[in-house]
Amino acid sequence: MQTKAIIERVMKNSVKSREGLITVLQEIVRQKKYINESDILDVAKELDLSPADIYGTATFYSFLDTKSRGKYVIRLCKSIIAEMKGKDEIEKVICDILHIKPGESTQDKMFTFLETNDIGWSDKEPSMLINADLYTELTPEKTSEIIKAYLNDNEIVKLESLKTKSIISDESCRNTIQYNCGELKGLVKKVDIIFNKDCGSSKKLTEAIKKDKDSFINEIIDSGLRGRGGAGFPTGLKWKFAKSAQDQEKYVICNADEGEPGTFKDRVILQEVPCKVFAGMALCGHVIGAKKGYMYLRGEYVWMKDDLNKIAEESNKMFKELGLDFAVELRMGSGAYVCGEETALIESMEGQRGEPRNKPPYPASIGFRNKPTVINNVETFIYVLEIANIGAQKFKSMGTVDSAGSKVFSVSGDTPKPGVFELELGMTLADFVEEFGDGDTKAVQVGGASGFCVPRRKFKDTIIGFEGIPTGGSMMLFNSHRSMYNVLHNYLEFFAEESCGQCTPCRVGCQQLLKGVEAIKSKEKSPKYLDDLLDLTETMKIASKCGLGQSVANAFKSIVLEFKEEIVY
Amino acid sequence: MEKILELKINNISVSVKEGTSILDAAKKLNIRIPTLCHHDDLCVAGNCRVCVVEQKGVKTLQASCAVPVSNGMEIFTNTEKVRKARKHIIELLLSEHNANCTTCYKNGKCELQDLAAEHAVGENNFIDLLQFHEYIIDRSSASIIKDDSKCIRCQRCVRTCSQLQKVSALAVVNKGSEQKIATFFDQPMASVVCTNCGQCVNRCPTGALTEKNYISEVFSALGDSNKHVIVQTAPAVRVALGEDLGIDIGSRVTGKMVTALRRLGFDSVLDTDFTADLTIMEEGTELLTRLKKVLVDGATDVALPMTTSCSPGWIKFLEHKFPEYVQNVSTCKSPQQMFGALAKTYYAQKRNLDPANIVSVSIMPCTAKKYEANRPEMRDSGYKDVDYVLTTRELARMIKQAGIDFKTLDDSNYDSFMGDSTGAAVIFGATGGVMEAAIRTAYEIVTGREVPFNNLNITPVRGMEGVKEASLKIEGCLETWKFLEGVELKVAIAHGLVNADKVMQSVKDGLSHYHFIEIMACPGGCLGGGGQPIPTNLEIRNKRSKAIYEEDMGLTIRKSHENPEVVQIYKEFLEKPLGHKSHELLHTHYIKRDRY
Repeated sequence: MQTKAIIERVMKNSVKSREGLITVLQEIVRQKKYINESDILDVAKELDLSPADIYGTATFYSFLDTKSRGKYVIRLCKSIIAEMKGKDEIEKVICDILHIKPGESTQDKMFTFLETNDIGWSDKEPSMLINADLYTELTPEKTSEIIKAYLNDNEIVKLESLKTKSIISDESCRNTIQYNCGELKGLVKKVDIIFNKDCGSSKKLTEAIKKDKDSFINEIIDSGLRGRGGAGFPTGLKWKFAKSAQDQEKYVICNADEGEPGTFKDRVILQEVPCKVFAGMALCGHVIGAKKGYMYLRGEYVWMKDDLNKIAEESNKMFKELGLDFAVELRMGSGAYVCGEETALIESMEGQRGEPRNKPPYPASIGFRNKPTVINNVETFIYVLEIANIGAQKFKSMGTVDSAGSKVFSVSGDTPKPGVFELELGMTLADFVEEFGDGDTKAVQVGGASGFCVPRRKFKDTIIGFEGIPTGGSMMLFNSHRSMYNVLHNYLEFFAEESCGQCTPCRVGCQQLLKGVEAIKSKEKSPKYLDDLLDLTETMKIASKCGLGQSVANAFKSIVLEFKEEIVY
Repeated sequence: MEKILELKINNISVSVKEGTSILDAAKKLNIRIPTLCHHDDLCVAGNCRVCVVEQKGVKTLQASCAVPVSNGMEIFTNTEKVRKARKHIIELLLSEHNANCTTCYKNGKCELQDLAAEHAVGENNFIDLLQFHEYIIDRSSASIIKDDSKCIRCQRCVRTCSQLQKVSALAVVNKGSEQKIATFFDQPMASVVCTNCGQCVNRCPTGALTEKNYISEVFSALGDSNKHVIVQTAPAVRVALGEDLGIDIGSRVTGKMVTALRRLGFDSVLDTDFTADLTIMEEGTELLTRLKKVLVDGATDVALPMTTSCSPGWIKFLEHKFPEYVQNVSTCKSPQQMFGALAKTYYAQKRNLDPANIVSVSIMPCTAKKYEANRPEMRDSGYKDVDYVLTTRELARMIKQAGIDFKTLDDSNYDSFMGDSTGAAVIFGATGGVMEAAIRTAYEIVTGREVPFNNLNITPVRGMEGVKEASLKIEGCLETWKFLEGVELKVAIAHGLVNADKVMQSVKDGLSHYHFIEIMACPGGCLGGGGQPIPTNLEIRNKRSKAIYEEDMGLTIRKSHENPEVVQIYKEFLEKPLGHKSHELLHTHYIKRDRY
């Protein structure tokens, strides 16, 4: 399809504007595999934008390729968990069959082989995307079979059985499918709120919207619910600010851009109970006075896009039937971890590079389209919906004072039970490891690459929750065979790539940390240089513009201080 | 009502209006907080983090440029925490910066260098990150050199190019460690929409964006006894040159500049003002002719509104973005190029020189003039009309290199001929100046009377508002111009290409019906040009502007048509405005370029 036609199609229902830019670029990539100069010139003409500006926006996103790509773009996950689960072997298989290295394309332009940051399958690594098709739990044999099928173009159909498919179906919201997360010993308290069998989002929403708005907000505040994305801002307060903002136009955004390494719980939630997420968004819209909700779904989850769109449509119908003037719409990300930061996400939704904004102002007062906006995590929306039904008391009877309720965890790494578990907050890490460890757990990374690494000797004293170590849900277990240098190095590479690059402490700091540990390892720098780097992380923590740069210190410090000998020698 | 907020900075109380940044509040107390990405002319970025300060009760530091004051805030700008972070940030910037300071063009004029010195960075422990990147210095442009190895990603240039100029030739591309400032697909600067205005150069804190300098070429010419080297100086240079030579902002240094140029060895020191006056004659006549064709002859193929053509940044902007309007631009060459064409014809004849031996140099407040002089159309004398264009900054550098103590120089006068100036020509350097000069002359041509403004000062067209509009009813016309009787002449003035864009868009959309539009590419007009001393901000531009109008008031002749040399050149060379010779030498055409 001609670029111009793509633009016409993508923007047929809306005014041609900057906001649609990323959707247009995504469609160009979908159809042509990459965006070339003349594509951008066409887009520039149609949208009245500067081509350099568009080029700058496209190059921000890993999935908006501006370099020549083959018919099949292979993106092999290179997260630390993928590495632990044999990513290198898979890489070798691909390289051997296609005779190319990562980053290269085959001469016949059939394949491009890329590596990519966490694609959200730490429970089933190694994993890869080939265009929008997903393959998980790869073995060398399986990989070979897959690549060979693509080599022989017309054998791809045979791959259906090997593909990992979206599991949302008409049945899902009636919950005939339960995410199988295995039996637990009972050291941690399993909870069944998010995935509970009686989904009934329509019924729950019907009840919830009968409540007085202000007292409902107070109820959420009273419940102690804090944002489940990781930062932990009190949800009720956020809604209160947005509700009190004097503006006719407000927005609800569901942050489904879970990019934190080792996190995949939103993926499962969206597969299992998407109706509840949309219902939670509608409830938010009803309470704060917003008519429009957007779900910003990470580009790595493109394979569930069509299914989610269907559910969104059904949900919108349901909202209408309930008399709610509210509709949800899906927006896709394009491979940029930092877009999980709420203001970066807004920038991205507005068709810009996903660079975090200066705060204040916060989105609750000035957000999407400069209007008051509530942005919550996928899981948070469900909890609000559930609190409306079970009440604040019951919710806060779980967990602790600072960490009320339960939370969905993504468990991965050296564990016999990788998967998603909804657990009561406030457990000690010792109990968690007892439950999920393989008996040889050396350390647990709580909260992903931007979280903290806790060594064995601290398991007992570490509480999972806001009084201890808060987490967006990522729990990666490492046993004694794992090199903590490799773990740290993997994180630092990740941050150096995924920093938006606008602020000095983060852009340069991440590179310095990465090159610094490499130099210490190779003896170019003395072990004492680690102290300089630790010092630097203090500056990154207090002087970076957003949470990304501010939290690099967490993993760095905790790994370097606890596993110094592994970093140095 | 405006809310007043109270805060304490370093334990000193201060009250400020709501919306004031911590940085500006500190300024009120004469507390200087270092900045890099911040620029008075640009929107807040909050990127470099050099300006971080500590706020009582807040764990993270605050970027003082980006955080608005809140009531009761307690700020500390010089704590251990702040100093340490600030030093780290400077060190980090240095670690990705090609710090070959002694050989850098911006040595001694670099904000990063100043900060490093101020904070005694000393030995920087961090790893040199340049080794991991490939940087190519882009020298393709006639005006601007882009050296990414010196870029600190403050994005001032990007904001300048988009917000002030609406060009966006430069953008931030990639992310993370690969993030950089680039053109469309990393194409050479010479082949993108860059207008060469140099506003980015004016705002770049380091040596990443600099003017392409022709200092050594000019010194070589001066040292060549076979060459007759002449120099012209643009109106705006004389009110800014002093800034680079230790003289207060807003000082007029015309006389000292002429003396310095003579000491540098120029064979003749002449004035672009002369051709500015000539421009008025040609352009004024062109406007009146266009009006006559439309109003009397009912011509439909005559383009109105007519726009000025003095600013080469504006010309290239129009060629790219409004190519359908190239017919609307006055065909007059810019004063620089008129001068160049006459230097190797009229001047050569009068001085009995072989034009092949004339080296024509111009001192301009502008980087786009370098590009303009290199346009293939600009060779009507049979030679390259203007050989070298130097910016105000380059001239200051030459003066220093030559060991001339500028401050103590005596004043002297321009050589003749092509050295006479009027007040009308001088004000070409300020936004609205060409319009004012044109009206002073045109009104008098048409009515036989001086413009009905006190002291000839047409104040409605002056000032720093982005777009100015004015109208003037023409009454009491002379016989030849009777067709203009009662006509309300509608004019507009825009400076900064973002405003040019606004005006042209409104013309395009049929919302505005002007007869004549003055457009200058740079904020404030030429006095805020991309070749002027650094730094720039509104206050500095206002001071230069004041100096320009003082210079105008100080001259005895203040109308272009009264410039005796202009009268003379028509008598002995050009015959009449828009005459055959004029067409040949003083007028040009424009090119329709791709918008993207």
